Amino acid sequence: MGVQDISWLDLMLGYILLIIPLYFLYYYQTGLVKAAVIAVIRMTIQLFLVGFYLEWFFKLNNAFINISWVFFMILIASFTTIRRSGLNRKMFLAPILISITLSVFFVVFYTIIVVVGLDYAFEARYLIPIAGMLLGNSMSNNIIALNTFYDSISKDQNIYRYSLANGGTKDESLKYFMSQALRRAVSPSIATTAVMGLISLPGMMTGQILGGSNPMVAIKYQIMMMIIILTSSMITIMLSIKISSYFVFDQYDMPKKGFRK
Amino acid sequence: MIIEFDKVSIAYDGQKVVDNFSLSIEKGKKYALAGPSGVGKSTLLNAILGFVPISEGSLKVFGKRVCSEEIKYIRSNIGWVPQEFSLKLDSVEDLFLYPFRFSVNRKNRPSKKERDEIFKILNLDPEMLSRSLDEISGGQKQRFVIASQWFLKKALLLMDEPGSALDEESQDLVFDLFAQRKDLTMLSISHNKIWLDKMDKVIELK
Repeated sequence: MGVQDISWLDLMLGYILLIIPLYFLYYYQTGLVKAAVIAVIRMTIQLFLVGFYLEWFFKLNNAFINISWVFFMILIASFTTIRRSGLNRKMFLAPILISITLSVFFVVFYTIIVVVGLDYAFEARYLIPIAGMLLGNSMSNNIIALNTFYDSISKDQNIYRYSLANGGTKDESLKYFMSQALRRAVSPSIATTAVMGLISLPGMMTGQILGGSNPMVAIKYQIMMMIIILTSSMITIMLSIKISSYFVFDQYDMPKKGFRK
Repeated sequence: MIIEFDKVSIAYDGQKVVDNFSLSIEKGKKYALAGPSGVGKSTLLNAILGFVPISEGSLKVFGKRVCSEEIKYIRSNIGWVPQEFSLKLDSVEDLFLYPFRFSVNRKNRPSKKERDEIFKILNLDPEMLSRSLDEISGGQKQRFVIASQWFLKKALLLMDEPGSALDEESQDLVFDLFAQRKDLTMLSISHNKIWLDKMDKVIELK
């Protein structure tokens, strides 16, 4: 059975549901009504644009265009990471860009070539959505990790200095901060993974089932998604911190001034 | 000489905190820096550890100029007892064993028997190791850190206000313990008369 299309009029009827959240936001004077309306409008426009260009990309299915598009998404993700984690753009842009690029391309091609086993690795229908999901998830994890790491280095400098002063190398002395950053960044993903299917039906799987896929196929793709999100998040975080720390610390292994905005 | 400050000046944001300071400390001597707060005592210890750069003069530790090429060697031969222990560690045992997680110190990790002997001398109960850090006093934390420093067996020990959290009896215990090691050079910061009286020399900074 194919998927039942939603007519434009029916979609409008869907928007009517928004009256409920907007009413409560208004009634309790949260000051969020305008933000919520703008968010819904933005989402609508952005998703329609995505719909248009995805249709176009799928039709062309050109390796160069597909890779360029993924790279464009990586660029946006890098700028967003820097803005949202309050870090100095000059010091962090290159390290973050390199980290996300390496991590996403490695995991995406591993998935497409080794796991899915496609002959054409640049297939738009796989490359773009998988890269998009990985980017979205590993970006938010990376923001938490970078924030925690560099925030605690400026706040808890005494433990860093105590480690260096007792003969710890830079890497050994940063281990404490690395552990804090990883814990904060990855534990929500681990918690979500553990209850998957019990209290949440993931969006991708729901989408595939609604789209007419066999539930078993949808589940296998979902399992693969969870694994590659965790892996690419970890690679992105490790590379971002390792490469950026090369620029942030001076020859005495002390953090340079101004690494935060 | 273990430490040689030669006409050292240190400035933060263009303002001189240390001006034209000279001091040489021979191997095995126990020196202290005293004086009101804000005269640059901690800055001098931080300069030895390479945490703050010097703007003028020269500073040598173990005969080596404090610079990026030598700082690893210098730090790996120094023991450091800071004044504050607001370290977010899980337990007292983590605090005591913290320096031994670094490769340069791993060989010095004490056995249970050795550990308990030193704890006894410093009047510390091994039972406390399983407690969380906020369950013990500042003086006890400082003594646990001092106990780890004893096992690290470094050539130079820097201590920031070792007297501040220790009562008279504990100060005696700590000093007597380290005084046994004739080759150990010690430089501390203190306002405490009992501690200062034990030193070979007190440098009064103004």
